[in-house]
Parts: sequence; structure tokens; C-alpha cells
Amino acid sequence: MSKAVRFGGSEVLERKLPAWRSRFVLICIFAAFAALVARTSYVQIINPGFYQNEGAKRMDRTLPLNAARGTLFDRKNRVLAQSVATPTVWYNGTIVNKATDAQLIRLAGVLGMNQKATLRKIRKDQSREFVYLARHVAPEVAEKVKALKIKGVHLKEENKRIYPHGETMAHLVGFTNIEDKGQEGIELAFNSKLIGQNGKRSVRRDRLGNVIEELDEQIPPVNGQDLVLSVDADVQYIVLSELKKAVDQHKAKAAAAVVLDAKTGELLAMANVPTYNPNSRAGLNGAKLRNRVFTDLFEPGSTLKPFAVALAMNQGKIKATTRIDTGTGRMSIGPATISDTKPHGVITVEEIIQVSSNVGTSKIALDLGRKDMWDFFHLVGFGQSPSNAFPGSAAGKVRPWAKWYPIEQATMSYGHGISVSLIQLAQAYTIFANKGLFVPVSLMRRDPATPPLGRQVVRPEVADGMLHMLELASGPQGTAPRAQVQGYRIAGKTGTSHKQEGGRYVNKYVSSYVGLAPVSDPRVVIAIMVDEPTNGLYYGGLVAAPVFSVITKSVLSSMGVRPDAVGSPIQMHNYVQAPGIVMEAM
Amino acid sequence: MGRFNLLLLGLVVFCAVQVVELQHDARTLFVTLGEEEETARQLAVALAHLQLSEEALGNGERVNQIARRDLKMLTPIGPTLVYMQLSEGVPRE
Repeated sequence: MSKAVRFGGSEVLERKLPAWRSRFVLICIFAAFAALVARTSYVQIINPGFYQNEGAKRMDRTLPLNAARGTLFDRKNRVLAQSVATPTVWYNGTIVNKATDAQLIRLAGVLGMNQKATLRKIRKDQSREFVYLARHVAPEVAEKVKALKIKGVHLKEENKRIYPHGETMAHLVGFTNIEDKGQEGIELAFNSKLIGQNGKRSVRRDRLGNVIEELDEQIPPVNGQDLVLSVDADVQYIVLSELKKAVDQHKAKAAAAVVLDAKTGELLAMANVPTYNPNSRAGLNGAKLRNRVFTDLFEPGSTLKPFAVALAMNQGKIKATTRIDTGTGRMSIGPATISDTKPHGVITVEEIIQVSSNVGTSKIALDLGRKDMWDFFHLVGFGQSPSNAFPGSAAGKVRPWAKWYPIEQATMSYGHGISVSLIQLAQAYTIFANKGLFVPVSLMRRDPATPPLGRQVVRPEVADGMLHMLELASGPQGTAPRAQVQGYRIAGKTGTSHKQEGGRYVNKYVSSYVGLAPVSDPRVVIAIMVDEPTNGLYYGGLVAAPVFSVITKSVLSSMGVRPDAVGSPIQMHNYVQAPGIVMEAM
Repeated sequence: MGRFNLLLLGLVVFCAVQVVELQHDARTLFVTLGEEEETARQLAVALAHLQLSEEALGNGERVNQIARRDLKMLTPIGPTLVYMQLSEGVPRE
């Protein structure tokens, strides 16, 4: 018989209980504790991973650290393109579906979207957990969205590219897509340098979503490289505004211009009309997008004459004073005839450039070796893929010398049967500004302490001689007196060429002018091209040369270049008729 | 011996409470740091917007328009331009 257990002195509790009952309860309690210890040991020691993983799933996150795309600056460190964090609205379809129609209509109203279409879209995307609703919205709009407090509608930040100079820089800088990837211009050409590399951080959040702990060493983002371009925003604006005026005045289809630093080859400006605003690309079409400076090829016409003549002078075949008989201004080669606009008779080489004689230039070119001429064209960059990496840069066309017929050699000397881009033309003219040194174009600002690597193409005295001839060509007796600039001596050459359509020359023209200034110490090379002027004038001396004059004056003033022709006012003589490029029976 | 054990037990409990409290403090500070970093980032974004606005306000087209329209400024042309020759010895730049 077991011993009874006493529970106190109370009479009520004086009842004796059997001992086995109390022991049974005690054993049960111990068993329960043992079970708890066993379970705890299992959870904490034997299989600790399960709950740790479950906790991590709920609280731990890997957050991306977005790298900022590099900023583009002009040569005076003014911002041309910059990425800034901008709110984007997205929703989780599985949650937002519980919102009322009235809430969603209010949301659409805040975002300025079509209310019915937005409602339909959200109701349709019920199973998708991440759907963009509106990207790159204004910060004040984002605040209004936040204030609506619709469950399932969220904000996140994305980078948006802003171009403060708008259309002025459009064709040079280009633009990025909504994902901040380069699509055109410098943005595309240097995309790999600009994009940078995203980083990440592993964190633990509390129930309110606050980051409370860093779980791992952070991998910091590497921002894209900032680039300082060679372009000057002031010069660029001058060039674009004058081009627009020229297009209006001459009712032209398009126009393009490029300004190079004559000493370093740096691109100071490059403009196209029509243009577009990279910040608002609605209505963008091929014509506006087209970059006529780098990607378009055209027959340069008489602007090419100085090269054939310079080569002949460099080889010692002729001098500036050598007299050449251009006869009646007509020369037949086989069935084809090359013409000048009027007979010049016996004239010097200097005068051939001055009056732009096709016959004279052809005679000089036919005395050159075909390979020599082909090599020289390549030395000055024609027919060569440019080294500047600009997207879509055209190499131009110079046919293999072995296949040249005499008529082709002759016509190429005055810019027909050969095609070049405007940037190539401007680049080639740097040889006359640098005593025969060819300087490649640079899109990036050069270090002033490091002179650009160039190559000597002609002897210095030949380049200086040609510079003098080009000054005469833009003088009162030349083909482009309207290119003159008050206060500055300028040199340059006009070009007027027929366009080709369907393999035939048609009565549509490309008017061009390439010039250097100031002649005493050239600082800029400026090339102008006006495509299809239709207002009655089409000669380069009448259409492109005046544009050069206005641009050069403003650009040199803007650059602080001292006038080198003080006290010699320009003489606006009556226009000296420019020679046409008449291709008969070719 | 029993008292010593009680003292150790008390110390253990105190340390445990301190660990929890310090961890809480650390996390609170970490949250504050995160908030401050976010504020700094927002300010950097605002600065970038302001710099862009400044750039847009100062661009050539706008300045030109204001100069011509509001200030009635004109580009000097032809005879209105007078170039002056500096005499020897006068600094040029």
C-alpha cells in the first residue's frame, strides 16, 4: 500500500491522495519537458538550417546597387548628358487587383494616362507580379501616387538620361534608350565606357522593411566613366543656328557643318539640319536622325581640287607660277568632255585654283601617276575607315587605282567619281593649316601637353603655297568672295556638285565650302554642306560660302582669336560666277 | 557556493539583457544611418536636377533669345565694327 501525500493542514485538503497519481503528473511534466528539449535540440543542433533558411527567406535580401552612367561634358566642362534617378511606377498584379475601380481610375488620372485603358490593363495582368505602369515620371507625380496608398502599386528608381542642350547637341551626343543604353552618337560609340558596373549588398530587414544589418561585404557599384568631349557648346550653338537660317533661306533639303581645331584635329562643332530633341523623341524620323557629317557620302566637287594640285606640287611637277593652257575651257577625253564655265586660256596653277578650272586641274591630274594619286587620297583620309569610332562613320569611295580610266583620274581631281563624308573633307584640309601635317579628328578633348600624332603628307612649303592659293580663291577675284570675314584673313574652296539618282546625274545640287581661318595662323577648319538648295542659287560660293563667313566670324570671336586683317575691310565684289561641273556625254 | 552560483546566474542574465539591448541599439543606429544615406542620395539627385536646370537655363539658344528679344541686342555688322590696333607694350591678353 503506497504512502499517502499530505497537502497541508487544511481540513479540506486533508483528503489523502494516492502517491501514484502525483508521481504520474510529475512524470508527465518531465516527459513534456524532455520532449521540448529534444525538439529544441533537433531544431537548434541537429537540423538548424531549416528555420534559418525560412527566416532568411523572409528577412534577408540582396539589393542591387545601380552604377550611374557616365556624364558627358563639353570641352569647357559643361554638362551635355547626365543620368539622374527618376521615379518609375510599377504594380504587382496579384495584389493590385484587390483595389477598387475608383482607386485605379484615380491612379490613372494622376499619371495622366487613359483611365479606361489603364483599368483594363491592370485587371488583365492579374497573375503577373511585376508590371511597369509608368516609367520616368516626375517626382511630384510620384509623390501623388504614393499618397494614393494603393496596395500593390510601388515606386522604384531608374536612371533617366537628360540632355540640357537639347537639339543643339543631338547628332553628336546621340541618345540612350529607356534602359539607359546608348543608341546613337557618342552615347553609342562609347557605351562600354559609359555604362559602369552594378554592385550589390546583402542585408537583413526588419518587419517594417528597414535595413537593420549588413550580411556580407558590399560590392560597390563602379560608375561609368565621365567623358570630356572636344566639342564647344558655344561654337556648336552658333553653327546650328546659322545652318537653320541657311536651310530656310535656300529652301534646302538639309545642311551640315563641321568645325575642327586646325592644330589638334579636335571636333569643336558638328551640326545637322533637320535635327531633333533627344529629350523628347516623339515624331523622330530618318531624315531628322540622319547624321550627314559622318555617315553621308557626297561627291565633293571642286573642294577636292587642292589635293591633286598639292600632290603635283609636292612631286615637283608644277609650281604655283607654272602656266597651263586651259584653252577654250573644254577638254575631251575619249567620248567625254570636261568643261569650265568660261574660257580662261593660259593661266597659272595659282589661277587654276582661284577660278576653279576643271580643265586645268584635270591636266595637272593626268600628269600624275594613278597609284600616287590613289595613295595620296588615302593619306589624307579619303576612302579610309575613320579612326574616330563614331557610329556609322562612312569610309567613302575611291575606286582601286588599277581600274581608273584617264577620264576617271581627271574627274576625280575635281571631286567627281569619288565620294567622301563632310568630316573626311574637313579633316583632309588640316594639312593646309599645319604645314602639310595631317591631323586625325578627335571627338575627345586632347591634353594640351600632348601634341596630336599626325603624319607629314606634303612638304611645308607646298601646304603654305596651297593656303595662299585658297586665300586667293576666296578673294575678290576668286569663286567665293562671300566667304570673307571682316577682320580675318580666310582661305577656302567652294564645291558644287550634281547629285546622282539611279546612277545618273540630275539637276539637284550639293553646295559646299571648306575653309580655314585666320590665314596667318589657322585655328579652325570649317566645312559647310547644303543639300539641294531650291531657291534659285546653288553654287557653293553663293550658298555655302556666306554660311562659312557668318560662322567663322562668330566662332573666331567666341574663341578669342585676334583678327589678322585689321584695317583691310572686305570687298564685297559682285559675285564671280563659280564654275559649274558640267559632265557631258560621260 | 550556492551564493556564488546565484551571482553568476545574475551576471549571465544581465549580460544577456545587455546583448539584446546593444543589438537593438546597433540596429536602430544602422536604420538611422540608412535613412541619412538615403537623404544624402536624395539631395545628390536634387543637386543633379538643379545642375541640369542651370545648364538648360544657360544654354546658348535661350541666352541668345533673351538677348535679342528682351535686351534688344544685335550682332554688330559691317561698319559698326571697329578693330583697334593695340600699341606696342600693351598687354594683349
